[in-house]
Amino acid sequence: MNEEAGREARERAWLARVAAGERQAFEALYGEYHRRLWRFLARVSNSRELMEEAINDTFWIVWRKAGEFRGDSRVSTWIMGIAYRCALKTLHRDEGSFESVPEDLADAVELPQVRAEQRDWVAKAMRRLPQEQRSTLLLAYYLGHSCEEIAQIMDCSVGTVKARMFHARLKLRNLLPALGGLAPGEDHAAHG
Amino acid sequence: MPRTDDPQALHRQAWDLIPWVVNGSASPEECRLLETHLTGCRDCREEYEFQRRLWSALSREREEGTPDPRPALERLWARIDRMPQNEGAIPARGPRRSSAAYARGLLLAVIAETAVIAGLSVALWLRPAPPAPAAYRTLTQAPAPAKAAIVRAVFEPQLRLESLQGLLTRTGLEIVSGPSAAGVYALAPLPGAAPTDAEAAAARLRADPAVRFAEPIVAAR
Repeated sequence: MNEEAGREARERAWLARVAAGERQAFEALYGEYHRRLWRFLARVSNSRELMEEAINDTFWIVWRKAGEFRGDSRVSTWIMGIAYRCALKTLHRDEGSFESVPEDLADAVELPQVRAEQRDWVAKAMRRLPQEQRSTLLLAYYLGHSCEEIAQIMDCSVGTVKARMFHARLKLRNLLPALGGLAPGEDHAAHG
Repeated sequence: MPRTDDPQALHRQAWDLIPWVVNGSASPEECRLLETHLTGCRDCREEYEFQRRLWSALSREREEGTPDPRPALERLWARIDRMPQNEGAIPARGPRRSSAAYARGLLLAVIAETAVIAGLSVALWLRPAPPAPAAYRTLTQAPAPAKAAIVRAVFEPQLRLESLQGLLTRTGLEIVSGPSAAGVYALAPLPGAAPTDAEAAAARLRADPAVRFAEPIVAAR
């Protein structure tokens, strides 16, 4: 059994036990997802309080609806779909909690001189994306979901996911022209 | 996936595939298509490299700042424990009913069962029986101690939840612990089921194609 299949089997078993009201299994599932959800939400919100509320709203639903999981998707897709809806509801309630960087901070997105600064620099650029595009990219690159799974999580068509990813990539290419040393005109000799 | 010989359409198709190849969710055929295209397209090679570095930067995210989940979990338990019982976890077995209807049915069944047991006790023993522990537990009580497992089993990873439940019901077993890191579950006889021989239970499990491995736990007998 490979690592991914083992994790899926483990999470399905936890969910089955949660459906039977087992608290130990629920705590195991909560522990597994809290870190993932926190990291995802930290990219779309600037409020720790609302992030925790969104996570607990998500698991409130998981506790009540575990028996309705039909098994036609990965457990992570099912839980992320709930989390995405909870995040939209919770974070939209508080105006401005869906954090974005104002236009006048565009200058902050500069060429990185030190590789260690790259992540902060990427983070700043990510915050320039509209929420749907940012979430699409995070679900794909942070959490490794497929195009079809992201459509399910965000409750939209596969075509919409592709379009959001397309626009996110274009915008990031403009914001991050030198990511990882790929400055315009640089590196062509190595690849061309 | 539709194939095309139009170079522009192929380029667009390859371009769209890049993120899904980078994050490992593309099919082998899609990976091959992109790989072939990359050998002759500098734009896509640059974009592939850019996306790969973006993915790498995001996946190397620092984890400091991720809080301890336990206080939040305690708050969630407090919220769940304040919840009326009929809104608790909904067992998935049997036809789907509303949680309120399920709770009402469960309550009536428990009352009826308690009455029958009490009547039988009086008729058979003509003496008051000591108070028996409830045959059920509320959702807010701590879980009962795990029963002695008689079989270890590993299921196929694609086994669906309802199929797993059906399989356990058919074999008269329930999960008492697991899965371990290796995906191994410990199974015990269902409450009220006839005494089960561990060897026979393991054999019943092995007969199901969704069971990858099953063995009796001899020491538990």
